[in-house]
Amino acid sequence: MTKGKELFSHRINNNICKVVLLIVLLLVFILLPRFGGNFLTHVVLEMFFLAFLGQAWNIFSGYCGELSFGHATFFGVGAYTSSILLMRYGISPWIGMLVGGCFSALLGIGIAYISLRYNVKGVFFALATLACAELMRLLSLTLKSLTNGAEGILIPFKGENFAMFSFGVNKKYIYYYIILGMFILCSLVAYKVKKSRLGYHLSAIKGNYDAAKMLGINTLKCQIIAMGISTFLTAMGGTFYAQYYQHFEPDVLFSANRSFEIIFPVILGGGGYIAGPLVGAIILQGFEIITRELIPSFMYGVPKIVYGLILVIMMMFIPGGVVSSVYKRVSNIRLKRKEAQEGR
Amino acid sequence: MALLTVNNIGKSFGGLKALDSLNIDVEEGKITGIIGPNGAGKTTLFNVITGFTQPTEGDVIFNGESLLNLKPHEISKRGLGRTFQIVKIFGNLNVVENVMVGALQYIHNLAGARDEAMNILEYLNLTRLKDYSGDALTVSARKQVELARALAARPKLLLLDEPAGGMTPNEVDGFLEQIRKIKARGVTLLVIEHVMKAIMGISDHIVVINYGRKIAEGTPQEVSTNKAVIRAYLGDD
Amino acid sequence: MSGDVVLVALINGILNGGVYSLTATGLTLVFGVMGISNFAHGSFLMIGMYITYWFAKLSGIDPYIGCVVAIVTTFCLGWFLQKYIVERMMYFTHYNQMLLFMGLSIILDNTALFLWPDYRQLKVWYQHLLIPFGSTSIELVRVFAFLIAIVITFGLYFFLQRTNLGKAMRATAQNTYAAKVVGINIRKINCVTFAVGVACAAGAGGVLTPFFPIYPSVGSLFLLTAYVVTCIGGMGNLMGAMAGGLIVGVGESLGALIIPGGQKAIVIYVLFLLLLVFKPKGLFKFAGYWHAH
Repeated sequence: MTKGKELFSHRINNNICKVVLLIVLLLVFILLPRFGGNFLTHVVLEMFFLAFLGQAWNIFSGYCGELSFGHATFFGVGAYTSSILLMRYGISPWIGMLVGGCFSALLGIGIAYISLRYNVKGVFFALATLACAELMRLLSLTLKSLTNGAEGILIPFKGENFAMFSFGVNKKYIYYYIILGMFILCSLVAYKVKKSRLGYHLSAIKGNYDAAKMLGINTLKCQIIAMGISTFLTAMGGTFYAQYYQHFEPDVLFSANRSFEIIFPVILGGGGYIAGPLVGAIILQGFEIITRELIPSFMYGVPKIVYGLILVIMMMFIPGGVVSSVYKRVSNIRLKRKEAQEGR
Repeated sequence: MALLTVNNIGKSFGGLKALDSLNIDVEEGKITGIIGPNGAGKTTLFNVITGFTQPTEGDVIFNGESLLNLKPHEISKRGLGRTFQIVKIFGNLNVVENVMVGALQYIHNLAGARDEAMNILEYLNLTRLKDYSGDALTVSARKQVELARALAARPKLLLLDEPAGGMTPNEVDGFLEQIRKIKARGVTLLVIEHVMKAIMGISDHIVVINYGRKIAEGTPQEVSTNKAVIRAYLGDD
Repeated sequence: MSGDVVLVALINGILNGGVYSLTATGLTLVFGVMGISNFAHGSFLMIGMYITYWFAKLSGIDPYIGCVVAIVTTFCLGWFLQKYIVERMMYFTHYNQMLLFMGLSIILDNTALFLWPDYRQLKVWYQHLLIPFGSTSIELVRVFAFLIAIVITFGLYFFLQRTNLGKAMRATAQNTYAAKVVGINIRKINCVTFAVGVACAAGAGGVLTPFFPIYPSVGSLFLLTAYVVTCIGGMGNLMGAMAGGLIVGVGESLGALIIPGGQKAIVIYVLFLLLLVFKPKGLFKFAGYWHAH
């Protein structure tokens, strides 16, 4: 009876700790623009941007284990869709964001369906998605009448206008709150998916494809649903990018570099975990800021070398990412404690 | 009528005939064992039955319905479960979650699935393992969890592919106990096995396969004294 | 479009194809013997290019000699990487292996980017020598590149067929367990294989230097091309890589005549995607001398 109560209060304590931590973090991030200044706001904004895109990628690749190396495809489609609708037809980027999301979702579902139906998996899936992104890049360079080619699209600032997703460089904090909100939304979606039947199915697919099939899981359907959600959200990130930076071109949207930027925070933080993208984004953005200050501009490429090193070392020692190794250690401690209690 | 009928199944891979005119009936409620030398085509048979590969000839009838051209998950939904020769546990989930995935086939909410999973673990005496991560288990423990997981999916017929492989004699006894419990739940079993003590002990009916063909069948007693079977295992003298 | 132009495109396609074949041979060899997909293969081609370039520039010796230096150096580098890093990852999941190689290629590409962040072009006295052909002409350096690539590829083929080490590699490709049982030192085979594989890429890079621009991310272009070739020829199939390289070269060249804006890479990407879906195991029925893992 007493043992039961002990374990019970232990679990309550644990949950209360988690909730308190989340609330504290939330407060910190909400109050940040007020007390942090413009530069810090911009930095943390970029961090949440990375975390948002990473979380979107996480919902597909992190959960089911099929690595997409070409998520830049959907990022760019989102950016182009909302921007073309804005520049040509004056449609609000908020609506453009949803339209871009739908296009991307359809594209993503199509790519996922064709690949997974025809057994394009593992390395080949990664390469296929990479090829798609590259194809998009070349197409946007070629179809000049639609996309303005290599010049890219420039979104002129026409004054502050909420409906038109335009706030100007002096009001960065508004963009900050928007991306914070988007990240929270994305994480809620990720959480809902994870703690659902779909989430368990995706974990099963990641765990073992054949075994999952033999437990009644329609692997194709699960994966394309996850892909649709993931690509919709990624495209929303593209629209945000367009509105915040107000200029983009094919190389910046569809490059392999962009795809890597999307997935690296998640790999570092831990794929398949909701906290993974944020942890990874915090670490990477922190590193980025330090190096930006310390490393002179002629040492271009050095930070990336460090990223590569981190990736190699991680894969050899903690392939699951930071969050996974923390979880493993915590659950090991718990198990040992339980075993000791049971007098083993 | 038998629960599962393998009807004149043939499977060729290019020039190699892995299965040849196989006819097997699996009676409901009974344990049918499949034995045969290595490479006889036993796992191929399972792959054909469960939809991982399609036969070149013949048909598989389950519960009166043909399983031809169905995908594995559709076959699973019709009440067929399977474990694998190389145990396929979900290393990224803990034991309860592993079994929950099985339970989720019929129970669509997580809380219910968790309860069902805990029930199954308790039924098979595996509750002590519940919080262990799949990849932290020994092979023997993994096999047991795989069994629990398959059972949680409420199969009418469960196909076990060398479930006792690599087990110590003690573990084999424990395993036979699990099998009896599963049978007590009304699940029909079709088991491929090499460990003679295990298969001969629990089977009601045995089918012997060699080179993809059925060479004998009958009760364990009949089969162990069958000349063709002895020749297949020990070779001509 | 005159017949000459098409014919020259065809010939150039074959010439380019030889280089693609060599690149893909390295990739497919590593997959056939070791069962791993070297995602960083393109970066080794880039290394080969830079070594050749600097050797030629600093010493004034002909770059084709520099090519040999590049091959040997990359061989050693490959051996080192395999022994201390890749070997550990051999039995990990494909997810981890892919990311490991991605990390490797990022390190290599960005080191080059840091050291030499611009486009370079090697200048040799015979660079602009042309072989006249009807109304147009063919660059001599492309012919050299083709010939050397073919020689290396065939040399590799004979090495695998005739020498004991080659036979051991083929044995490991067919059945690693059995190879271990008969006493073949798998670790050493893996080292040799990986080293040879990346050396092929470096060799391909080396012969490209007289006419192809040299820049840090050149590897990624050839990586995808190499994968397309293996899709045509079949992963692990050496002769398939040879044939596939020529097919891709010709296809790209002819495609460039049709596609506006000269974005001939589009042909490669579309071809790749189509192949992945419809014929990922290669267009050729025979498995060749290798069995894919």
